[in-house]
Amino acid sequence: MNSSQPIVRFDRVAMRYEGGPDVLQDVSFALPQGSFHFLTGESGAGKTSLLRLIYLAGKPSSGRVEVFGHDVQTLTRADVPNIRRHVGVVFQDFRLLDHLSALENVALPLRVGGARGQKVRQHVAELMRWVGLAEHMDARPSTLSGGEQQRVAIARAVINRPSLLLADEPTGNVDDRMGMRLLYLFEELNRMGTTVVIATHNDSLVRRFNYPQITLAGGGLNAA
Amino acid sequence: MFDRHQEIPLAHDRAGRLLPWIIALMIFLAVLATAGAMILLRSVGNLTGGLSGTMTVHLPTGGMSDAEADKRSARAANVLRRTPGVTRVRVLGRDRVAKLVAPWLGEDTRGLPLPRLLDVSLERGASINLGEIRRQVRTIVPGAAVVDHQRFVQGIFDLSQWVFLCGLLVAFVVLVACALTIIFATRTSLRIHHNVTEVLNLIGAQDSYVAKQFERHTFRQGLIGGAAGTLAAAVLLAALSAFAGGPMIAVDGGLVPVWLWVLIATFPFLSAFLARFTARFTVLRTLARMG
Repeated sequence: MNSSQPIVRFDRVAMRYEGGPDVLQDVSFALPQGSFHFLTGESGAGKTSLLRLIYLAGKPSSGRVEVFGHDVQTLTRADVPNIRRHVGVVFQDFRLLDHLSALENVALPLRVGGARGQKVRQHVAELMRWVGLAEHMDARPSTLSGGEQQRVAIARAVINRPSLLLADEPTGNVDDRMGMRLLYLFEELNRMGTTVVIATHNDSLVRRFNYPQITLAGGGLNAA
Repeated sequence: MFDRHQEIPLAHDRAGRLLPWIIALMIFLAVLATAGAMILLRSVGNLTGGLSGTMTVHLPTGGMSDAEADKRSARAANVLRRTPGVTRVRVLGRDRVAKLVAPWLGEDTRGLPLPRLLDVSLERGASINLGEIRRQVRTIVPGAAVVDHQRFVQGIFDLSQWVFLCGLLVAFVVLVACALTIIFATRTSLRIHHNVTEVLNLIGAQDSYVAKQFERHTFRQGLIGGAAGTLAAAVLLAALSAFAGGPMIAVDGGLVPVWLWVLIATFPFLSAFLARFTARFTVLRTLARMG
């Protein structure tokens, strides 16, 4: 992929779930490589749907979505995992696997990518200490608080230094101090070249970090 | 521990707990069907092997003196010895025939018109003109009968081959039923663990990565179930081999020969690989259909 090419491009994109109304309408934007954006909008504005299109969990009903230069409409099932390995996602509902420990959850992207051995454990443990979960590495997610689960989900999303990081309300369950700390982590990743998109309701965070916003309202885009 | 961990908790899956038992039952039946078919074929071969390549000629002696009967028997035997394809002709005289019929007619057969018998050995695969032999012998001894064992033996052998094929077909059908059960169990597991496989896919796992976890688990179940089923069938066959009697027992090496034990020993591995590849095929196909 050409370095001047946007990492994500939406061109007049609409999306609807089966049988329902459009949740996104005529959305166009481009995310340059290495950019940092907040995705804002009220509940139901389509933020999660837009992120789903970027991490290839859905397809547009019309228009064109490009991720890393690939038109998502033409991707085969076999192509998708290779692209997803370059995308870290923090899901709103965390999607942690409860039969695995926190450490094993964080290590999943590395294991799926074929990494094995003690180095994986060291690398994962280091990151978990950084997000304040050193005491909970062997805990099952169901025994952790909402904020701790969220930090496990964030650690899992960033463990393999993705080229694109998508976070859906990543600070929704943590206090302000931890919220700031996580945003600094995202900034650090961004400085190392990761393109970051954070969907959030947290206006104070958006004001404080002052990055460009993509604002959705009623399924459409409000440029900011 | 870290590297051996399965991301999909299949071992805790209640739906799959019965699978090794079902596989054990299926493999038990498949082993019995296969072994039964092979034992039958081999035993029939052993039983009829002594009769193939022979025929018997009955020479009635009504109204003849013993001397006359012996003379005609010798002439008929000479005619047969000159016949192409005949390797040996043994004449069973009055005394020998009397011994053969003694259990039914008693020791004293004086005055009875006992026939003479010719025990004829034939070359393997020889084409014998029975009609011509019958005609030649009857010119010497009117009313002589030629009994060809070959036709009788061939009938039994043909029947045993059909039964053998039916046995193999039963084993094949049982293995197909086993594969269908594995497909059903794998699909159920996929549904139960849909959330886990979805997360794995979302973080970049190929379908083959997910399939491998099912493969490993199902291979283990196939091996355990297959070993249990094979062991049970082997115990049953060993008991039959030890206690069964009569003509169905093979004349060399007992009821179950060594090579058949070796074949039976491969069934757990057959079961394990059948389970593994069926699970892989099912997972890949099901995930591909999800799109």
